[in-house]
Amino acid sequence: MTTVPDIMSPALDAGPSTRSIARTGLDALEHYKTKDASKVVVRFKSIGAAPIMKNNVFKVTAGNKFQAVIVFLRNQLGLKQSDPLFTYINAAFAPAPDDTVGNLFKCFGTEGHLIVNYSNTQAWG
Amino acid sequence: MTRVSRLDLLPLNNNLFSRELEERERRLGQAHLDTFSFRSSLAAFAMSTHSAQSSTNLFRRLAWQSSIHLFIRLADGEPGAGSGSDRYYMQAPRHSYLPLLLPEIRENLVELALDDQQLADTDEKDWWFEEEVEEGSSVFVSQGPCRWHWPLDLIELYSFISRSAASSSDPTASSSTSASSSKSRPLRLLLHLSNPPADKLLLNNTVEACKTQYINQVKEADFVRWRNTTKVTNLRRADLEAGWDGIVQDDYDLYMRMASRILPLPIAAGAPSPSIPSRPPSTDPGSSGPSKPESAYTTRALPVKLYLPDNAPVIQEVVPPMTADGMPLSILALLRQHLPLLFPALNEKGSPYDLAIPVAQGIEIPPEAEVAWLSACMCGVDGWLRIGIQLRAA
Repeated sequence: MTTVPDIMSPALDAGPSTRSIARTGLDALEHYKTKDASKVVVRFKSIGAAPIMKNNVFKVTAGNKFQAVIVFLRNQLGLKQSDPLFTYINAAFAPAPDDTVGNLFKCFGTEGHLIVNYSNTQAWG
Repeated sequence: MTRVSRLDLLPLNNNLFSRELEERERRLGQAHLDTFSFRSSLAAFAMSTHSAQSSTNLFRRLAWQSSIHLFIRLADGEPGAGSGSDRYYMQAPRHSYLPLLLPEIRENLVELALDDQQLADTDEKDWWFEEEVEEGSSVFVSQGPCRWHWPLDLIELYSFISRSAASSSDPTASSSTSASSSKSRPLRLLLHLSNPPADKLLLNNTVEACKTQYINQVKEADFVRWRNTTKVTNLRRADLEAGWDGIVQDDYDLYMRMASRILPLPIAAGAPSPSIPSRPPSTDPGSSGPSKPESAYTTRALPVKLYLPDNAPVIQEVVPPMTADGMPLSILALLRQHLPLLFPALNEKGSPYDLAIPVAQGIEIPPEAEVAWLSACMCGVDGWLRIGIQLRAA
């Protein structure tokens, strides 16, 4: 099985000051704050005249925001800051940049991966 | 200030509701939605389509007319800060977005606090907001820079859940009292005029960018419901635009030109259409034809997001409207499934909300409320039901 390259996952911010919340609630919250370190397979598909990459399958940490995927893709395509890039899930909608990859996969994944379409022109209004 | 304190779905008390609507039509003061009392799932199921449509409309209007009080202050170190006119109080609809408020804030705060030279030197595209946290007031960290694509409802929700609710064992404070005292405190925002943190804000502050995000959130919600975005892409251009225009102009009926064609109703599956005269499908290729309302109980999944305090990741799962036993999914069942540590299976002496309380559209949600009903009647204007989880004090 070919290995699927990984993209960098930024660290989470440090914790809060906490006063007066019940211990059980705080412990629960700490548990739910843990960033999901599992990997999601993302399959990039180009639309229209967008460049096709030699490798278009990557593993992304589920806890990453979608913004990290956009940044990674821009890098892979060698785009300049000013070059437009539009990304879509399942050729249907553009996710909010702060949606997590894990959530997008859970809700919109197909056949074990998340399809991310990309284009250099706006494909769907 | 009228509070709607108890609403039984069946039978509807029409006098109370029309008085309520008149009150809100005059837009005096805040529209507070107090805790509702919902009937069981069977009652909601049994409602005729027509009465479901009118009661759904009532709740959607009430949510639409809910406003948030904002207190905006120029951040320390910005030009004009510390001057007598460096602060501004305003009300904004809960469903609005920060980019839409910029013109009013510019006119009533920035142009008054800054002198001509400072005004000439500042560029609105560099402005940004962050929540101001007063010393000792919050339990968790502030949400920091406010995202431009978040509705005010979400910004306020994060602010609300960053404070603890009264302990359930506290005899003096009912949860609705603590909720309302928090609500009388305005949402405090600091306005910065330069150095926007692009990595946190993620978008620029133009209305165009906000509108694009909005349309995509509408599509994403629809994709959750039906596994496609056909309802949205089949809209006539005018109907699609009416959705955003309704938000910009604070015009509910204009907004509903889009929303009524997309949002499902809390009606039983297979219920007959409401009393629109039936017409043959239009032959006009541009027309989307008469819209038959869908049942919220037959969607594949419901567009719901759960928000925890303290920058915990947002929870977004596949939420089917019905359980395996064929009953509508309740909010308590949903919370027990995805946040079992905060909503554990009941012990005899406890209540379901011992550790935490779910909040949406500024009110506490009763445990038996159906998620499908909530998603049809109390969703945001982009179709998403946003529920915040507030932790209780010890």
